[in-house]
Amino acid sequence: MPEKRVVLKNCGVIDPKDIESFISNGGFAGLKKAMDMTPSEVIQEIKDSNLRGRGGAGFPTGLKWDFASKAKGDEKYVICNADEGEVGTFKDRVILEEDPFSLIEAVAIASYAIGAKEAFIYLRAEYHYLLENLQNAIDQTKDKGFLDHVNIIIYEGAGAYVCGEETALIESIEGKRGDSRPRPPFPPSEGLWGKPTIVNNVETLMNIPRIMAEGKEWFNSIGTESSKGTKVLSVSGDVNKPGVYEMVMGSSLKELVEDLAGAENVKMVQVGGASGRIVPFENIDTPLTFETVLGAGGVLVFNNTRDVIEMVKKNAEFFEEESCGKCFPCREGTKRMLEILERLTEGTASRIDLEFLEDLSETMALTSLCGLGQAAPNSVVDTMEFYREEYESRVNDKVKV
Amino acid sequence: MEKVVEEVLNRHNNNTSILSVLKDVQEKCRYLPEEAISQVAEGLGVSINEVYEVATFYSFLSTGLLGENVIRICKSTPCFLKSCDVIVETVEKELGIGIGQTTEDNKFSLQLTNCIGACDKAPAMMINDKIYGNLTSEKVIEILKEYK
Amino acid sequence: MAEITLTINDKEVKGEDGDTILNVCQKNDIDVPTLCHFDGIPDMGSCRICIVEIEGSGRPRISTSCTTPATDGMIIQTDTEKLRGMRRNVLEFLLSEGNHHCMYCAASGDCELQDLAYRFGIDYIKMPVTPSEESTHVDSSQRYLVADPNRCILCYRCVRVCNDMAGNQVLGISNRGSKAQIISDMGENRGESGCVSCGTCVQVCPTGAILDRRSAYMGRKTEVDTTKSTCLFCSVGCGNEIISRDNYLIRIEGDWDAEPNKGLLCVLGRFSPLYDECRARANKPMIRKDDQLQKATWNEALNAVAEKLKFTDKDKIGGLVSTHATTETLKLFAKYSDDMGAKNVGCIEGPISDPPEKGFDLSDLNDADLYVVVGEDLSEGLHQVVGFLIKRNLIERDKRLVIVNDEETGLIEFADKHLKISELDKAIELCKDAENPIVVYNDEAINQVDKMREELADNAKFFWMPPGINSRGALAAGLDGEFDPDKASCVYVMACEAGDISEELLSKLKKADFVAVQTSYMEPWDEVADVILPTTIWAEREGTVINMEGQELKVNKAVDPPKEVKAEADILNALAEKIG
Repeated sequence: MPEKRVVLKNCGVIDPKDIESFISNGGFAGLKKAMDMTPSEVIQEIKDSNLRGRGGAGFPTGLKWDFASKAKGDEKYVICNADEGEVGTFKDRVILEEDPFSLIEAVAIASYAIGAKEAFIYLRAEYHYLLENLQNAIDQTKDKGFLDHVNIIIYEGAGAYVCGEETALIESIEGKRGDSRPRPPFPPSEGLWGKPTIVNNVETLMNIPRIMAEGKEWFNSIGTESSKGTKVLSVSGDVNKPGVYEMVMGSSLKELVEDLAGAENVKMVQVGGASGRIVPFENIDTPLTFETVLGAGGVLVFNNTRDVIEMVKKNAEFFEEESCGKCFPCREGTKRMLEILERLTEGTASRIDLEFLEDLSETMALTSLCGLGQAAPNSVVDTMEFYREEYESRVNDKVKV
Repeated sequence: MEKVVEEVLNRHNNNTSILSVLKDVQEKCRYLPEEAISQVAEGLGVSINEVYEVATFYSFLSTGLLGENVIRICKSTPCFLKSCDVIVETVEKELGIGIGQTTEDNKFSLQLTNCIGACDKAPAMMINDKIYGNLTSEKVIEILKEYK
Repeated sequence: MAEITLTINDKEVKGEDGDTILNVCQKNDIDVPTLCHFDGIPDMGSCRICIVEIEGSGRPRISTSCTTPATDGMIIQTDTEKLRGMRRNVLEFLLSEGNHHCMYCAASGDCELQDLAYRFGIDYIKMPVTPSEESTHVDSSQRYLVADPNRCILCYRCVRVCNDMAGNQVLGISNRGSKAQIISDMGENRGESGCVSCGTCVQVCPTGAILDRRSAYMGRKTEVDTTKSTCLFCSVGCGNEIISRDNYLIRIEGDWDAEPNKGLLCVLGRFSPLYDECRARANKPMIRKDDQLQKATWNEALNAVAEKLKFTDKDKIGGLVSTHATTETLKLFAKYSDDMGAKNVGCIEGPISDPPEKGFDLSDLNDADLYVVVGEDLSEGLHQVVGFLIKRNLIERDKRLVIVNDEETGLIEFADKHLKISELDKAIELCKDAENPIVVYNDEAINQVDKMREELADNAKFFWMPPGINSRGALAAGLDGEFDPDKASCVYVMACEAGDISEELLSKLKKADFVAVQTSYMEPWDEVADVILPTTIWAEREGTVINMEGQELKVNKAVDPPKEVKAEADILNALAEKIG
């Protein structure tokens, strides 16, 4: 089976409120091991494990840590990005619900590795109900003496998707508007309050204690050549069994969507949430890797009763509401994109609108300041490629250009 | 109100995060009235515009009065696929208010929200901090009764 | 700074470590279009017009040149077909939204958005022109400017200058995404907000979204004359640019290259001279006959004055000067007073203290960690720009402001501490603890500051805010004494624009036998003068002034005075000739 529990190892197994239950299931083995090594050895281990970020961009985690560790300054920060706002993504929620201890263990390891004395878990406002669970895990871990080297603080968001973008998230922790910052400087050299900072997704961090406990060779043995380990996928939409599935990297989308989640009459699948790519049914054998489709692992399944343009319009609506508005292509582009898609669904779109849609998608993808604007047109670009005829059929030739 | 804000500011003694303070003020006052924003600005030693900028950026912060219970119905794709519009209609009918409105008795405010991460339980909504999933019209009516 | 070498558009160019790509391009005359960028304010990389292609492994990376640091060996293209296409698209986004109908816009011809549209050949827009459905109300509540959000492209320049440059912290952004808007304070109308009318936002707005109310539609950049000069309304000596057309004054702007103010001006220097100065101009010589001022020729007027001065006992002659005058004129006045042996001579503002510090550098304010303001207000009246320079530094959290004043001043809301004069010791203690304190004071606080100077010695810098405009020029001319009206029966006043004269002084002058006033405006001198000698105003003056820092600054003539108005020095010289 392509299913394998690495990240979700403890989920549904341990009592998320009781540290003893966690410890008896191998908890803190990774942290203990790490603390016996030097910080640079820990970083080397993560580098050699070839772990890549699970938040969507797939940046090598060890390298990020290395940059922060080598950056000048005594004050450094670890931030766990638990601002899971991508549409159709809820894996971090499940992790926070069912295995908060592993996350705390991971944050403790990361802080030790880069020399951070303070770490933040940025929890989205929508997950406020998980705060107690998480704080309890921090408190119990502290009582056990595992957090002597770092102070972990939960910082809550206030409803802004863009804060999942690392620089906007940093602005938000500084208490400001979640406007993205231009990069460079990248957070590992200048992040929170201008200090070296690593921002890692919940799922990325969850791999850390496992790698430390089981070793880099073990981790390298899972997955494909360039995508190691597993990926936790959140499946929703037109499926019989929505939920969270952990798959070995390289497993096919078909295995996930049809075999596990029980989807029927699939028309297309969007992988990576609203900002994700569209996979039409004929490509359903596509493997799930960083090089193909993945994103943050939100998998939205659409059956063949669904209207492609209606679905893309929902995405556009989302981005129009969530753009921070700082950079022009994203602020104006998300708005324009929505307008055209509205015209298409209303039957008032002219032929030139399609040309315009392509143009603006390219401009947004290439020139937007952060990932939000760059990825916002993904579903438009893909559906225009795979379902061109649906766009063409909506064009109203009577509309004057 | 003034006392409440003062208390929040005192609690955040060493903290200069505008966002954290505003969130706490909103929790206590249900929204962020202009006087509270001015007071926060003064307490934190920052300008009014800076505080207002933050107050209007985040969708969970509100400068307009909100009801005792804030209902946020998810309208993102997974919930949309599971007919969240029916849920919206039901709530609107039950409470007699539209989206973005607050009931006359200030008990409920109704808002639409983007993905709340409960897609496996679509359609879903939040009432205050609590998440309700796998909603049907009947279920929604029952749930609302608890808050009335 | 280490030198770096880059290849831009296939040409090898040099830059310095720490430069952005845009800096390097500008230094090497490579024209990269920009829109949200503005020299002197922090870049935010929002408009994406200045994008360039940076070669690397794989496809070239597109990045904003204003925010990307230049590094040695970079290979960059600034003007590819692709970049032009992207820029064109971003411009189309902007042009198709909002009210960008150039024909009806006062900024047409002076609009950076329009310039870019021409540059990129946008002669039609393929996107449907859909101005926002909720067109936003034009805010004309402010006396000096009009803000039209429908013409705003949200480049944040005004927000950045209001906060980071002028330190006034009024403008901001509300909401997010396409609903984002420029606001003042909490969305109030400008006129009801905390806006202090420094007008910096007007000067940086790239489109017609913020306009100077008076000069709108009065001429484009190419149709007007610009004269660099020095503001003559307080002793900061801000560099300004006087905009005129056909000898008519249109507008005053800050000079970005001027040292003390770097482009900033305050309401007194930018707007008041043209909006608020409503006194009648003195434009003909006049002589009082039958208790009425009546028109006269220059010859008659000068003769009348010369006659009086010649035959009055020198101890009975009084001289009163305004520091609106240039140093040259003040020196000339001092010389002729000396020649006549007149001793009862002084400035309208009263005697000027001569502080031990002969000068200072306002840019040192940026390096200070503690500001102690004694006696001065700095939030209104004179020296507001010094207030701005302090306030903008207070954004950095480790910098503090202490006000020592028995009165409430407008700067208190920005201050960490407000002390009474009796608590001066506390201020001294704070200075002792600070690394780099600066004490800003005026003549009212001389005694307190003397005490501070004694206790702090070299551990603090002292910035004297002179009571007048060219007070240091008056000091240089030796005009630091006090004029005593009770001892003068024949008074010669060189008033220039001075109008804020105490009732007491005026009533004493009224009692004098003879008063000759060389003035730009009739008020308030028409009550007391026996002879009026019409003279120039600030924009018609030529010469130098010495500002609070001790810097000699050039004042240049922007427009010619009315036909019968003479320059100060010409009047003094003509008079001297007549007296002999």
